[in-house]
Amino acid sequence: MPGATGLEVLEQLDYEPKVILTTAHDQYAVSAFELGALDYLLKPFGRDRLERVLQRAQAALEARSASLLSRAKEALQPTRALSRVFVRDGNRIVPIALASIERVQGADDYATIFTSPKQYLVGIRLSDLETSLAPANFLRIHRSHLINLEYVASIEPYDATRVEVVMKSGARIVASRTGSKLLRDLPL
Amino acid sequence: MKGTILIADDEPLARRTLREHLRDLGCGGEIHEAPDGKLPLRSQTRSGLN
Repeated sequence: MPGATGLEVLEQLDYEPKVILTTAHDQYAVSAFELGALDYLLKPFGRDRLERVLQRAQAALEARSASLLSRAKEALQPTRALSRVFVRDGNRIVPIALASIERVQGADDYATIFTSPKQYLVGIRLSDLETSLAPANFLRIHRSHLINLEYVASIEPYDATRVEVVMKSGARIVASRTGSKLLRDLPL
Repeated sequence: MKGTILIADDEPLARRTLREHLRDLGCGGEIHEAPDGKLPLRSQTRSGLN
């Protein structure tokens, strides 16, 4: 075939269709199967042979759909909620209950966890922590700030579009515009 | 058989015969044809085939 032979196409595909090779040459069969072809039809072939191959292809497609469905269901299962995180404290590793975390401030690949009265620097991105902490009443109110809503003392206007959160510890954090909207939309 | 099928063959007669066989065997989805090996490698082709 101009452009690429059937085997070259198989070699270069970056997606996974079910491929049935039809050819007048039988010497490429092994290579075709090695490259993932579902079947190999030697020309000339009859309609019966084609029908059997199509049945195999249909079965393979259905098996893949079932597998995808099963994987999707697994991915959508609720993950077990975290109740604590483990952090390094000097030369020890200690558990911190999520309920004791007032807020987390991120900076690149690190985050500082604020509890009362200590702070812990951990080597994890804020976005990764956000996924784990969201079910525990934490809210991302800024690119660099994740807060525990249980520790909010008040939410005050900052400017026309943003609000400032005052934590019970006295810390004040200006929320981003998106974060401000999330805070304004919190159920009363 | 359901789904989209791409027939890649440089012989027009072979493509046409195969297309007719596929229709006769109840393939109700889309059947496309490619006269060379380039089309199957294009990223746009992946839609419906994987």
